[in-house]
Amino acid sequence: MTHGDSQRPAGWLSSFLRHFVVQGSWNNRSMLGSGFAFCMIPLLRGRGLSGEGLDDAVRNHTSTFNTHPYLAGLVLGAVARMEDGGADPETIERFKRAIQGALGALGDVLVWGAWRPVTILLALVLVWAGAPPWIPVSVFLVAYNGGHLALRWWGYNQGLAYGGGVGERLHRAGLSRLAERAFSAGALLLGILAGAFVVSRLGAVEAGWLWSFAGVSAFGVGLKFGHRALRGATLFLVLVITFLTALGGV
Amino acid sequence: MALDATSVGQFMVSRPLVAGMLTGWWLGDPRLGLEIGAILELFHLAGVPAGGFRVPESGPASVVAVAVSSAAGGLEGLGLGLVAGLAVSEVGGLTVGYQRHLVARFFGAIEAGSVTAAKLSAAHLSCVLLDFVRGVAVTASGLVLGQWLSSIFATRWPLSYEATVALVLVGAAVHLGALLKGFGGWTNRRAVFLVGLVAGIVGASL
Repeated sequence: MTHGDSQRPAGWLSSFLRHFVVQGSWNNRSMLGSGFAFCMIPLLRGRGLSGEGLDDAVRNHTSTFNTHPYLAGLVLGAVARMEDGGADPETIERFKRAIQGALGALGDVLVWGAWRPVTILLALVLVWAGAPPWIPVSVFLVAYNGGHLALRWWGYNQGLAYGGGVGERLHRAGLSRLAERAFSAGALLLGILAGAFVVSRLGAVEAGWLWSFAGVSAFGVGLKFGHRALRGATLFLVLVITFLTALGGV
Repeated sequence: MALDATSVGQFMVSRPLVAGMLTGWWLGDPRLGLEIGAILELFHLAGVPAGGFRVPESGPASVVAVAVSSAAGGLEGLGLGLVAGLAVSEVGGLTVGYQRHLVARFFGAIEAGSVTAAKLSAAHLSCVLLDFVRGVAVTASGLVLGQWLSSIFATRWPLSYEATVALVLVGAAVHLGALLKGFGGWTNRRAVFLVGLVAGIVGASL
């Protein structure tokens, strides 16, 4: 399939809206499976199913499934298109299993790893620049959710348009390149923030250069060990603050 | 706040920056809320909830951090507020883990019988409600405990405000280093990072 079909099935809007709560029953057993089935119900009803027919169809969608929540709509749309095209449950299950991992990894990199930190860093730079409180928060929410909602809408529509062939379409969309650009923007903003920390009122100028040296060393630890260092560093800070508080009472 | 983190929408109103500012605004000092939220944000920035891993929960924690800091004397209570916030975020993350086990057992019991569309919808929405109740419980417990601790320890903090912020930023620097590693690491991003660093130093010096 090379060309998408833009025709939307009955129940698509309700299904699209439901996918904002697709993680509502996320659990260690079926993960997104129950949420996915919950989102499929309007589409199944739209195909005229009711009563036991509807219940049987819902049971076909409760199997273990997990992917990035913002891209779950892509799978929903694709499955709706495949069911309209007469695909059997085994084919649909194989499709879900095949695409979930790639979509999950893509969403983790693009959204959690790139877009979210970049938009937060932008807001933090504004905080450090002394902007009124509502400006950094508004900039973050508008910028982040602009990308967030666009991705959900794009994904759902791509799924509806391309059905089982959406994987090829996804590959051609070049979302990984987008993440690479976001990483560079993030590194730039992180540099700006780090520079502001070093020379600002709250940084080395008043607190003393020893603190800056400690900060640079701590940054190096994070850079070297990555996520493995985070919990330990936070726990260490909590212990230091607790110790100093206890000391203050002596 | 807790619902936004996973169950509903994920519009990021539960991020410390947003939750902190909103709490500060509610308490009559949005600037205090924003600054504490921004500092707490540094500790959550590099966390990635990939593959359903348990991560600290930032929304209720930010509410507690700002409320405790406010009760302990505004920005002077930053240390205490931050500890309360970080502790609540860990506890919140733990309760999310327990909730996921509970929901798994719940759906296991439903699927052992006969799943219907009505049962599945009711169960799914019940889980959203459960998450709401859990979030309220975590926030309320954190607030009560935090206020109690701030009434005892608020006067004991020995460092100046500048030294307190510097101490907290040293802790946050580990997270920022990890974030740069997540962006591709020093080798791939050093040029653009250093350009930003110079820009930040020049900009903050003006």
